[in-house]
Amino acid sequence: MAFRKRILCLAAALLLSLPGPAQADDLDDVRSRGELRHLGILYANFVTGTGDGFDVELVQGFAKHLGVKYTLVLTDFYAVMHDLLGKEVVRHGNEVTMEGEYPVRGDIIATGFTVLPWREKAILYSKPTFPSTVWLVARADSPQTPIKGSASLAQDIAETKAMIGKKSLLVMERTCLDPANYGLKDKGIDLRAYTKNTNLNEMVPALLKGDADLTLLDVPDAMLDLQKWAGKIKVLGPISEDQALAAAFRKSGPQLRDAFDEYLRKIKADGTYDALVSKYYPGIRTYFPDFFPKRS
Amino acid sequence: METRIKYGWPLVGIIVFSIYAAGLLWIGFHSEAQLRAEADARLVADSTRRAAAVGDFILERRNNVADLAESREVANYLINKALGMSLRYGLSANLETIAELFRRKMAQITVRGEMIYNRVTLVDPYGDPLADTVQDGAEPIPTPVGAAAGPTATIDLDRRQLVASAPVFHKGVFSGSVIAVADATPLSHYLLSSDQTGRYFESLMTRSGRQLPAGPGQTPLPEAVAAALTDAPANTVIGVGATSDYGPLLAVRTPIPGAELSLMTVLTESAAYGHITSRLFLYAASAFPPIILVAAFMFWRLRRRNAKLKADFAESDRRRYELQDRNLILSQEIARRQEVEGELREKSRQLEHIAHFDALTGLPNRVLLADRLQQAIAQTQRRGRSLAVAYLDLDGFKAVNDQYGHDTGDELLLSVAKRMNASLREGDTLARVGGDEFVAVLVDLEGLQDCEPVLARLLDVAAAPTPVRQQLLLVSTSIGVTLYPQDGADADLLLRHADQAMYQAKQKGKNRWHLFDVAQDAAVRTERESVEGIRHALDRREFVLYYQPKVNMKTGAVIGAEALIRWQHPERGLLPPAAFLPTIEDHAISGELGDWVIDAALAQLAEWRAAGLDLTVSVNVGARQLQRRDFVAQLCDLLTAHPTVEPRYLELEILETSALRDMALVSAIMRGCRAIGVRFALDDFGTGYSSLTYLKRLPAELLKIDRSFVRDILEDPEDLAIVEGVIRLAKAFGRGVIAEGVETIAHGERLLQLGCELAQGYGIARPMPGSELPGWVATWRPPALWSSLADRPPHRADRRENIRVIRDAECSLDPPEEEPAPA
Repeated sequence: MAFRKRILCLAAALLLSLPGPAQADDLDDVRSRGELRHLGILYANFVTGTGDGFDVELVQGFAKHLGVKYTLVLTDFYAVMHDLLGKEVVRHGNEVTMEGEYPVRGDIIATGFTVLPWREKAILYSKPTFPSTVWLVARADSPQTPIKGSASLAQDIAETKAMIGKKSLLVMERTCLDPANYGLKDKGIDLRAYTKNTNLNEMVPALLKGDADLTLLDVPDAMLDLQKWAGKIKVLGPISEDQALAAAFRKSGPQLRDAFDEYLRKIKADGTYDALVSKYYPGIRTYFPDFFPKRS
Repeated sequence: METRIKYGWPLVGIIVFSIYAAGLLWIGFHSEAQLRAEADARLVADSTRRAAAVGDFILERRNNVADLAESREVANYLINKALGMSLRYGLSANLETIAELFRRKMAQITVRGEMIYNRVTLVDPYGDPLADTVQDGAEPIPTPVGAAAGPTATIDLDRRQLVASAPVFHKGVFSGSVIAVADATPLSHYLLSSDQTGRYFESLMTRSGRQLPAGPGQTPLPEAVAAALTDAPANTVIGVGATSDYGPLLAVRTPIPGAELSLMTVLTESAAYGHITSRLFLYAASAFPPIILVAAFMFWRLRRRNAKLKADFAESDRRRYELQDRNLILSQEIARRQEVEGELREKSRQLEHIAHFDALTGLPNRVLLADRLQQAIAQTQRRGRSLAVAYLDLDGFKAVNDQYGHDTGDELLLSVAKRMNASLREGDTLARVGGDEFVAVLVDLEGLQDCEPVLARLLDVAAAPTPVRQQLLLVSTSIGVTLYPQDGADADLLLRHADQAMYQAKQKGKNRWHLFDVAQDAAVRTERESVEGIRHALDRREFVLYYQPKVNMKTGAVIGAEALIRWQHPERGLLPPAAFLPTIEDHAISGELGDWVIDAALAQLAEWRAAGLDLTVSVNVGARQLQRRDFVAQLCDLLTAHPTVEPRYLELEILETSALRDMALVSAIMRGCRAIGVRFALDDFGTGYSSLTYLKRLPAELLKIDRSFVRDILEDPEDLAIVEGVIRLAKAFGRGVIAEGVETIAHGERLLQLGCELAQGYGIARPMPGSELPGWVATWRPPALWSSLADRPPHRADRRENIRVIRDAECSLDPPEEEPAPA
């Protein structure tokens, strides 16, 4: 009898350890598992690396909302997709393919994760959790003068792009700073991909180090960097339209996504969300007045 | 003493208490002044502390905005702005960050749990807001004046706000300001809450007197008070000059450090000092001891008065009862006295009668006689007439009394008195003044002739036989009469004169009348007055002794002095002996005076001896004195009384002319005196008729040649012969000789030539007081002529010549023998 038990347990363990093309990872599964695994990338104030961050607290609240344990799983922008999906998402223009087999390490991506059209092909996004846009940033001593800004964003984008010229531009592919997102690729711009690590926080230090003349920087990051590197960098102008950041789920987890959206709606209503915004990005509202309605 | 203690102790106690209370009050005043000073200091300190807290609050606001102006967020904004970044792309985030910073700070800066700031904004140099804690739509905050100079904090009294601002600089360039607006209400937390009773007021006041509007729990100062305090000195407690319902007000103005404000604290004096130390209380308390003292004194006096009144009342009561008793006694006494008065009046009348009338004869007695005599004298003076006072003494009455008894004698007296009284004229008075003595006063006389008939009648009726108890008795009367005003005496003397005359009448044979001799009486009175005068002078020590020196002209030695009595009469001055001694020569007082002279001379001798001067003093003694049988004893007593004087220094001079009745007695006395050492001299030798007898029988060592012989020895040969004779006589008898009355040097020369060395006289020295003699003795020097004659031997007679001289002297000097009286 004991032998048979052992054999059955072993078989179950083997079965469970086998990666499957579709795991049971929706809401029920998370609840039954009792754990919500949060895939986070060290990035601005979304995931600070000190155990807190906008997205960290956001998902922690979601886990509490679900009544499950919260677990932060650190990853990077290159691994985050296959950490969620178990397969790597290879982009082919606006199309993607799922390749390879990777262990699924998380249930939710919440890390200042930009909603990009190619990503939407592979994952389910929640409602936007944060706004963003990408700016062109130069060193303070660069000869470029920041644009004054106009009533037209498109005009401002064009004016900003025009300042790139032959300057080298520091970018990070497969992130919100991927030049392909903004039509900067194959335009003769001296693109310099930052590949030393996938931490967007390193863009400005690389710029200051002289890895390039210019760099792309998303607004959440730029806000922090403008404080951190005040007087060393300057924002020249916008490169992108307004973007949204959202939590990402597997396509097989719509209930989980819905639950998150429900949670998001709830915390926006009760002020928890505003508190998180004020805590981690106190100045963001002025940039995205449409996203952040006036507080009473 | 006990009564005083009994009634005085409360007063003493109150006095002690008052002194104690006064001491306490002094301490109280002193302490009150100290407490006031300390209270003032404490008030100022408290106000200073609160003002400092307000100042710190304001300073903290300045520091707040200064910190914000220098914050990293503001600096980042300015840096990014300087880099040209636009609000839309970059700077907005900074401004939002700044606003968020301001909000965080606002939330952090609280007072008592309440946010101080209600708005913080960052404005550009033009005052346009850049970042603001208040959402859009808020009115811009005007930039305070001088904001570029540095942090400021001002009070907006109208809005009741505290506006703090701090400039923002970027690279030294003014780039805007951080302005924070706070409700000034928290300032009131540092102020005293206004007392609901209105005793405390505290507010913040500008120089112009505007107050920061009162916050919750704060009552503003009354405007009048605030206006009066605009120029109040700082940090000094002053009187406001106004009062509240709770008394006078005090105020302290305490400047707020670093602000154009002052903390004005106004409170009542009672709130500041309390009631216990109020001056009014101390003044009231100070009045307490004197009031108590006065009250105690009044009470003490009341007690005393009450006690006195009680005592007076008790005394009054007692006296009332006593008076009642006395009244009763008095009434009884009055009744008794009235009865006695009656008796007394009767007895008084009887006594009056007895006092003025003779009980036996019913005639006026001596008392009434004196009165009637006075009246008669007055009447006689008025009328210019005469009156006679007749003193009657019955002759033989004593024999009748002795023989028949006093009863018979009284009846005889009565009968004779009646008859004599009847024989007088109307207006005359007969009085009985003694046993058988009567006095009749005969008035209204022209002269003696008018009273002779009355006198004759008196004699007749007195001599008439008087039948008494079957006996026929015979008496008579002797009458002495004196007439007034012929006899100018007073009433008493008239009676005495009449009495004297009556004795004269009895001496002349009785049964007659004799008239008083006024002239004879004067002589007798003179003698009597002289004796009395000398008596009084002795008693009053009016006699003094003067001393005339006696010298040896040959040797120049002063051998002694003669004591001469003087009378320092109070009216007549210094009298010589001749002015008073003759009148008492035969009177016993002369002996008394002589004793005084000896005693005074001995006293002077003792004084001289004590001064180192040994002299002999000669004293004149009178015959009467010398012939006293107790003369030697008396002399011994006198010498004993002066033990320091040797008897040999006393010399007694006997006047040769003295009438010595008993020569043997005198000689014995002289020998007795010589036995005790006292010597004698015969004074005025040669002037009497018994000179040689004296010389033979009286043991006198010295003869004094009378001055009457010495005075004329230079001119009169007979006097010269006498003097020479006396000198020889003296030497023949082995006696010494001294010349009196030496008035000139020539006299002395002559006497020396005659062999007489001793002399006294005005030419040597006048008599002087005893105190002057020692000085004279020390300075006297004999004339040179006398000294030159000292070497010449005197003329010496041989023995035969001396015998011849003696016999010649006896013949010439002895008095003639008295012829025997005819048979």
